[in-house]
Amino acid sequence: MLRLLRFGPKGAEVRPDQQDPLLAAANLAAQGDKRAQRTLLVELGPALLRTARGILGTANPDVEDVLQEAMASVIAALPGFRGECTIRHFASRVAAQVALGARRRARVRARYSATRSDDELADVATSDSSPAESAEAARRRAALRELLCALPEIHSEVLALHVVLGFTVDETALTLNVPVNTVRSRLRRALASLRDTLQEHPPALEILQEEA
Amino acid sequence: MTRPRTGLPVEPEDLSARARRGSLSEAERSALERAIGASQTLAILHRVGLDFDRVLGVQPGDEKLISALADGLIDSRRKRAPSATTRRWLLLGVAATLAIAGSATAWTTVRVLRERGAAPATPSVVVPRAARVRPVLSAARAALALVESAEPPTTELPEAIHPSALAATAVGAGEAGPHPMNDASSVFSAAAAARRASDFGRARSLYLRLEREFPTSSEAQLARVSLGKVLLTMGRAAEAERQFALYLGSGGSLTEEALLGRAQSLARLGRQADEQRVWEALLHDFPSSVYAGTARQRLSALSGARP
Repeated sequence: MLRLLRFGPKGAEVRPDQQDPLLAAANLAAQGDKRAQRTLLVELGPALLRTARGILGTANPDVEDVLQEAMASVIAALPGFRGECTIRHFASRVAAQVALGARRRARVRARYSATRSDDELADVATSDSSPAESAEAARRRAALRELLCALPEIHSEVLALHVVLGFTVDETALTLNVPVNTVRSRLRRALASLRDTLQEHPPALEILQEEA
Repeated sequence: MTRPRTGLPVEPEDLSARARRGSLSEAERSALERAIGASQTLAILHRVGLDFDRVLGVQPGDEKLISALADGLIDSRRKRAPSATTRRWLLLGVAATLAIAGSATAWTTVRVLRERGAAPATPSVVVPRAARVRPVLSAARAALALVESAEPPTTELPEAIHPSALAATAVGAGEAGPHPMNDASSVFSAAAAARRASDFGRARSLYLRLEREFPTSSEAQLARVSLGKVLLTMGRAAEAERQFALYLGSGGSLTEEALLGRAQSLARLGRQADEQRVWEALLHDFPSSVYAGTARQRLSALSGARP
């Protein structure tokens, strides 16, 4: 479930970030300016979509819904944004939380359903590498996505930001508003959980180890 | 996770993240390769990260989808929550209705009392409290419904504008909108101008629009190489690689540049085998290319880096 974000401790001074071109739009959008909100959503849309596709799968039928929910959540969370990271990182985190929630819900639904997701095939179709290479890459992605659901929320969030979205540890720390060492610690624990989970699922381990 | 030493003041997982953006120096690249060799976990994560980069580029129709969802969201929020101006009118309308209805009720009561010769009120002439309130409330509800059903002051959806323009608007600069671009040539020129001005976000958006709206134009084909360069500058190597590959798929006068761009994109993505093949193709097809020196240098580095 999405936790509305509050960036930075209470009373923390907002750090001016001249490098973030979306800051002016975000400030206006937070005050309810519709034009700024639309501009912001259009600018952030690709990052939100990338996050949703990364966590759910490129052609997962829930991607569009998650994108819309993420857009609404970003606008709703803007008043709590205190500038500790860029707007794009902030929005990506919101989208990651929405997508992780949707994926967990879909996983619960799947337990009672005979159908399986076609994410893997869709990923193969969207890649322009060789079919064999694409198929292996798709299986690795699918294995990691499954593991994201199996991990505790704080670990899966760090893993999603770092591995799926490619954030550095510093960026992850700023985005989550936690110290760098906390991110490293969470990442280590996530990886430990990952190893434990993999040991319970030898096929997944095999998939992830291929070509690594 | 066993933490392999990189020999640099950078953690291995950060080297992996930065390698995915193509922003590693040669020393850092070597350090990453050593770290990956020393840690299977890091190797797995780096590999899976690259797998994600491979498929998470922009897809055709993304821009349209995003615009449509943004429009829908803003529109629904407007309907759900009236703007400050609408709210002010709403309150004024309700207040005015209450005042008028109250006055009318008072006037009617006074008139009835006068007609009865100012006789003291008896239970039969006193209007029950509920009956007195109901017309006022229903009048207010009617006024509210009227105000709610009325068109808001601005009926057009807000247009998306570039953030820098929005920032200018925020400080009070009220300029007219951009000149409309109705043909491939004007969109291409505007995109090129944005690229020259280092406004890469706008340039990317315009090149994508060109590909979407004028897909069969010669400008759209050329735009793939330009867009690839823009994306590469923006650090979006996977998307850049896709653009160069699309151009090479149909060929054209910029094949040499597209090969160079694709090789550079693949280098940033860490796909060394693919990168090597592209450099070799460039040397084979354009042996006297101005990029031949770069290609040979890179091929030499790649062969040296492999066991």
